Amino acid sequence: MGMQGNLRDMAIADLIQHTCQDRKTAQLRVEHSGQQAILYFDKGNVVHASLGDQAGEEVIYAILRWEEGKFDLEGGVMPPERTIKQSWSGLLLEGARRLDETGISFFQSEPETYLEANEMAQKFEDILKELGGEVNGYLASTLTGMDGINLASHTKAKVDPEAVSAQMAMLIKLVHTSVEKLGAGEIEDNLTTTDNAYLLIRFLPGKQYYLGIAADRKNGNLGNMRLISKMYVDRLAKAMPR
Amino acid sequence: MNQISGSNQLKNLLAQMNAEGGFPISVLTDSQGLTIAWSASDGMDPERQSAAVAYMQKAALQVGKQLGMASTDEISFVDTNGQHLVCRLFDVDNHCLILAVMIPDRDRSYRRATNHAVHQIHKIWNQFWK
Repeated sequence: MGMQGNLRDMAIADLIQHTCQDRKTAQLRVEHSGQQAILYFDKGNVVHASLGDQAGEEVIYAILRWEEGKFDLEGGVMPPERTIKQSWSGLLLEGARRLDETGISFFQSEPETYLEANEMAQKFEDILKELGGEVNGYLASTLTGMDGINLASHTKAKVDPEAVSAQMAMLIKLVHTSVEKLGAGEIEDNLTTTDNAYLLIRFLPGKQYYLGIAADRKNGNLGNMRLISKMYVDRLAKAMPR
Repeated sequence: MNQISGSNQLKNLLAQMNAEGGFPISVLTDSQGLTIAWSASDGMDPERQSAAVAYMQKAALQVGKQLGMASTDEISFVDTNGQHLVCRLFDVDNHCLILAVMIPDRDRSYRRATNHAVHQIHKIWNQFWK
């Protein structure tokens, strides 16, 4: 099944994000001012892109600037070669950074200005910082989208929550799928216990984002973590833009 | 400004109650027996006491249902030496909580101390988390 459309209605970044989140294998043709770029997706990853003589990541960064043109997405087309190793979220982040330098906007659904986005991230970080004061044995916390991209994080220890956010997103997706298959109801939270730490993950309402909290086992209490995570998930959800 | 958190206020409250009442250990748990806050003298294990509290709460729930009693206010578990574990069950903002206190001997009064603690827990909850 294919999908055609205009870049005015759907930005390239949105097309990449949706195709990857749906874990599709597909070919995306994009036409703009007489040029044609072709992107290949394999099970939710962008693996190849070409534009004239050019191939690889630079093609993605170039076409993210295209605001007008047509696209045609065709499912089930296998990539002829592999020139991209970077994750799709990494490609979009780097693309956003480059666009930021030129002042061009990124997703059509993004907050209106980068200032707004920064203010929002700061607001989330303030909430996570406050959460850190309430969790006994607190080490770190993160607010992450189900695409694995961090909205905000806060840490008290020598840990980098951003480094594991994508893996934690995959973990909670797997848990969610397993629980659904078992018919075991809705996930309230997901707890991982290690020798010296507790890791608690809880979805925000709508399941588009999750809150992850790490606490050391010596000083942490599970009841305290669960209670505080429940309360702060509500606060974070209320702070989300509508 | 370094304001003390709600979690720390709960811990301080339990420590103060233990000191004033001469109790060796007290824990505040959720309905599943997971510890929210605790205070204990050396050698006491709050996780073990919390787990026991959840068993008692479940047993009390069954007994209450069988006998058609209203919701449980207090459960006591007394040993032959007079040491007893008192569990106060109460709701705050739709969360069922249990305050469990170990009383070292039969003659020691505890009801006023636990009443005061429950009242303070409501206050802290409303101040920080409502």
